[in-house]
Amino acid sequence: MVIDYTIFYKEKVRSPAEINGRWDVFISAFNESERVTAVFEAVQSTEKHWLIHPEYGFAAYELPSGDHIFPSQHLHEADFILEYTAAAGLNISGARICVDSTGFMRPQLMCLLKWLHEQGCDQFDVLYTDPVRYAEAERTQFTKGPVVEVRQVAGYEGQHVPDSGGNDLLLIGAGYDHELIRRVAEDKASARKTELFGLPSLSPEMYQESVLRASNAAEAMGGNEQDILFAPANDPFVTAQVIHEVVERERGRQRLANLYLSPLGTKAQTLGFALYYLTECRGSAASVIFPFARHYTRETTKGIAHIWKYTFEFPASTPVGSDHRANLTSGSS
Amino acid sequence: MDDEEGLYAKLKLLNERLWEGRASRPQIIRWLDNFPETAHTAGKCALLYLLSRFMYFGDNEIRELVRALYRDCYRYPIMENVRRDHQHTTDVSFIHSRLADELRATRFLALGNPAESGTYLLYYFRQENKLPLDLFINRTQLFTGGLATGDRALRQAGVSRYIFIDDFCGSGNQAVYYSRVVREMKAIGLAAQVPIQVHYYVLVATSQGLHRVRRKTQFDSAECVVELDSSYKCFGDESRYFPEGSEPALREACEAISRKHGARLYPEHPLGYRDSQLLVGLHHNTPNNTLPIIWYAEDRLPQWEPIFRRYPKTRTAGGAA
Amino acid sequence: MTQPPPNPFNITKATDFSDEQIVRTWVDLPGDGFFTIADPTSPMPMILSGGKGSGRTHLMRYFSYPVQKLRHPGDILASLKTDGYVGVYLRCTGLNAGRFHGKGQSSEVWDVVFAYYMDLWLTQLTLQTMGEALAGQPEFLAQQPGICMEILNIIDTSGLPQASTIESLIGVLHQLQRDIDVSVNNVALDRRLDVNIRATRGELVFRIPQIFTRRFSGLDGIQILYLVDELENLTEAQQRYIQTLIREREAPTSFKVGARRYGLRTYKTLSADEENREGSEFQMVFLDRDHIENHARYTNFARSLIARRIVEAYPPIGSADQVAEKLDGFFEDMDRTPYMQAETSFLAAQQVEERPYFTKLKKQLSAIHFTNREASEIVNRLSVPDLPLVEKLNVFLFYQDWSRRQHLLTASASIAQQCAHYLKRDPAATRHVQAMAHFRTDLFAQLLRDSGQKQRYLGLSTLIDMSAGLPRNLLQILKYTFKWASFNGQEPFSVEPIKRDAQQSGVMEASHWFFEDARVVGDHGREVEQSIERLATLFRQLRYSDKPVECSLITFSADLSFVRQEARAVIKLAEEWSLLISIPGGQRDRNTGAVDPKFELNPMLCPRWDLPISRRGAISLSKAEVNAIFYPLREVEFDTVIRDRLGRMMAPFRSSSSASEALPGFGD
Repeated sequence: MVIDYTIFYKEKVRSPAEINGRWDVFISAFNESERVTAVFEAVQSTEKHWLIHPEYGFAAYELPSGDHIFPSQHLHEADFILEYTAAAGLNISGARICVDSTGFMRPQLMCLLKWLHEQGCDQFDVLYTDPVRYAEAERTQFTKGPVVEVRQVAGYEGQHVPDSGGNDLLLIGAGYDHELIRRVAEDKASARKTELFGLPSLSPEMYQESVLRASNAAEAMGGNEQDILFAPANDPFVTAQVIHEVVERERGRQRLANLYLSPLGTKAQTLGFALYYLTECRGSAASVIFPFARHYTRETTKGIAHIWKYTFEFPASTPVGSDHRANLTSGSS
Repeated sequence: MDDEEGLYAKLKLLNERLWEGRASRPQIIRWLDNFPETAHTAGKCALLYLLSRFMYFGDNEIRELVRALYRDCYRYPIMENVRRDHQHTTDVSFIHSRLADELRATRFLALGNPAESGTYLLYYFRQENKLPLDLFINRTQLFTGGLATGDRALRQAGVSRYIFIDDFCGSGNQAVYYSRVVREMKAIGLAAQVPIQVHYYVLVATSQGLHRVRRKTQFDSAECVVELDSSYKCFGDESRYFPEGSEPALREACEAISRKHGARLYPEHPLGYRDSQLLVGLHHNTPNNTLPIIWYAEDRLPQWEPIFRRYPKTRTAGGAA
Repeated sequence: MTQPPPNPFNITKATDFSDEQIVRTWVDLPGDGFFTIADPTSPMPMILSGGKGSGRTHLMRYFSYPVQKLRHPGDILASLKTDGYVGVYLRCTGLNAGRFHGKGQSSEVWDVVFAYYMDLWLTQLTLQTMGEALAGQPEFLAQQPGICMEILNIIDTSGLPQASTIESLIGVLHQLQRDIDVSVNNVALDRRLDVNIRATRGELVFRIPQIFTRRFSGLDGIQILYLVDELENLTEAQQRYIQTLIREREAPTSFKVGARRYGLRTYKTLSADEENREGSEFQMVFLDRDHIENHARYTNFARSLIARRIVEAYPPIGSADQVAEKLDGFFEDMDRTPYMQAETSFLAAQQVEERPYFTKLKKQLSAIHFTNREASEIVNRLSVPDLPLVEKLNVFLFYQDWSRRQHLLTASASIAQQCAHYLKRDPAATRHVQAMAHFRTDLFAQLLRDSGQKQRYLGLSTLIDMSAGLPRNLLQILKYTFKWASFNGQEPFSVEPIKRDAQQSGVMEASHWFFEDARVVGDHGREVEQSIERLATLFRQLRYSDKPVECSLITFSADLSFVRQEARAVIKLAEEWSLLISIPGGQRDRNTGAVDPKFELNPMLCPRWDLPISRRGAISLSKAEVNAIFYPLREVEFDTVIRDRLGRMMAPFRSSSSASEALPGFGD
């Protein structure tokens, strides 16, 4: 069966009021920026859930009010998500779900998507909002402290193969923080490494900037001028497709024993990695690995540039030429 | 801002990673030698700083951008429509076959004259997207018959979509100029009751230029892959190169030097065509919207050593030469 | 657009080499080679350690079967017999061992699960290796079903399919491993760990080689060598299992375990009171320390390595031996004549009174109320217009006399007189001769600094010394240097030597890279980084003071018994991460007679702080100083240290009755 992630729906609007859709449950991770709060406000959903990341250290008075607030003390992504899903009593079947990825930390976001998928949710929407302006510092880092460990993200652990040859591939989604790239690359020092850059980037200069920053991790990435991959910085579907194509190519050359994926770039890129993994990597020798720190900075971005809505779908395998799928109950048109 | 050493270190990285070896130290020094201002460190650093902010799209990047052009501007909207028209099907084979139908009824052509850079772009576009040769035509293949004989018609039967492809849209002048044919195409199509769409897809465009194209032409849509907003205007009010809080002296120096020498090189447009004030270059050419001190290289005086040279297009009346 | 010339030093890590490349670019240690340090046929287990880039993985891969096969094309079994061993190579990182932890399960459970998992992993690799090596042997093929049956007897086979070939046996075991993967991976979300342990720990690891050798005579005399690399990726608990295997080793197997210094977490085994000991259960080899302690051998090795790389990249250039001969010529060097005239000519061109050290001196003299005329007179006496380095020496000696409270005008006259003798090469001018011998490089460094010039780290020997026994560091320096030379428009390894500016830039970039790369992982990283900065700053202040006491100072010793515990921990971490190098033999304390630990700042870091590459002098730090540098409770602690030390070394020299600067550390 041919796989093409680029068929999936994506929409871009300029303001929260224009967000197209109605949902039963809307899940967002709280922070104080306009791009998170204004969207939460404007979205049309029967229930709206706020998840609170303990890493940001919000004091009680800083928290939002409402019926569905889910604070947590858990730092491990699996504990965090399991606690939430139990407390929320989420009933997935038939529900229209929307997740705003903007405020989420990446491992927790990925874990949530995995949970939804495992529960049989074969379609849900994900939002992401670009700010007008990033403060310089957080364009470059999301961790405040040093990286403490590099490990697999819960739910994205594979069944790997003992291999004494050089048949491991590490695919890193490059972001602005070269230290993260370096640590992940070092963790899988013996793997072949490939870097995925956001091109077209969110703003044109960001591509050049990200390449320059990534070159600070060049030694950890290896002396070989390894393949560089490109996917638009704000398109999870093309990202997933690019990963798919690279992996197929490596498999074709019989050079792939173990696959490691590490999304260190934009949120949309992370979504693409997750989509690829959930669709194709179940039970395989593939894992998503991530650098974990103890402390994270709170963001202080300004404004809203635009809002993306991505519709994640997990079609059951349809044979070639078979009939169209039954109606999808979707928040979009 | 970095000192001279720091700037050279950054330029070295750019040279290694992105600029395809076009700015080694000797080349940079030859360029700096154009400017008497470099006798002082401040002047030298100002120029090195400007250079370090230059944005270059090399061969690899151009190839990726043409892939993005096809995939995001052309292909995705079609697939989206197919899905919406067929109960949101996820049958990939079905969607692809509908896409193939649309593709057969599409023709791609370069915006300008065949001798201009658009043609190489078409070649990349075709190669990178693995498209069949017969989908590509040039302007002379648009019509049959003559205006005089009154039997002007669209030559390509069964074609409902025409895509004009361009590499760079600065002021939008070129696109506007070459788009006169669109009116004619659409009129003929209307008369023959064969509705046709004509689109303009460009790799890199300024917001202003794109806006102009949308306003002043009959293209059904004008899209770009890389958009340069007003912050890319080097000495503009919202310039990203000299943001709020940065040293005013640096900006003043950069602007003064650029203007002074730009005036000698390109008197009508000392800071780039139509005062675009850009710092952008592509693998095969540097647009004249970029500061002239970067690209000027003509056989006549004044003598100048460019750093990212421009190969002049053929001059046409009214076009941006 | 230009195509850059290939960089011979592009690949700096073994992990980026294919097996073919490892074979092709292999450079052995001069003399008896690496095999004498790490004999793969020795039954004694070994821990191979060292800093990042010591060549450990390179060596272990060289021992591994895939590379053995490439080294001996043809009859592989005969080759293995010649080698005397077959190397089964395992990278611990492949286990993703971070999973075997927490998630609501006890550590005892994880110990058991991990040991079993490790056994399965090792076994699969062993079977793959043996299966491949013996594939063409008819006798083995006949024995294969029997071997498989015996192996299956080791484990609880209930519910498992039969296997009569090695390949299908691997399949069975791999499925067992995958079952564990599924279970362990799901624990995070399920909270239930469901693992069926089918073998006693260690059984698979030791029995299988025994079964093979017993059943197949072709393996007589061949040791099965488990090469367990990247141990630092295992937790302490998990490392205890490896230590257990080492302790319980049975013929015909042995172990070579590769671990970075900082990654060696324990020597304890899984039994409560057992701990493996060096020399007893295992042999320990620190590759970089080995290199440092055998400087000439390392230098030779380094030169061969570089030559080999150059020849790989530019074959027409000649043979590796030929290139090794003329290697120095590829790098522009400094004028190293006694007075370094070529290097100081820029000063010789200046007016004497304008030379920076004299301008400074005059200011200092005026501050203690010398008249302009007197000051000029002194400068005049000390000056040697054509030889700025000698001038500088004179000024230095003058500062020494000043600090000893001597009459300054007299002192200057005396120095001038002795200088005249010195310049005539009169050996009686002992003061000048000795001072120059000790302080030449420091004085030259000061000269450069005073004149606002960059420090000079030039010449191949310098670059080799800077790498401090870690071949990767050397490759890194050369890689950067080459890139700079290319950027500067040069063609290295062709006609002209690599110019100074490229070397300087390359060295500095390598120094910055090393500091970043050696970043200690974990909570204390920041502390270690900051303390190294403080230490280096102290050395720099001392080096560039008016009257340095120790020459070429990048070394300190200290009695660590009573310093803050955290400070001790920081020093230990710094050493494990190669930021500090421990000097064997330590420093004998003059007063107590005890031997204090002694440490050198890694030469890779030195250019970053304008420090020398090679060590000579050393200072002894007091308890207060150690605390202030490595774990201060307040910023001011360190400032005080600097102020106190420096006061004795900067004009007008704080009053001090003792000429020696090292005060014993009493109290806080």
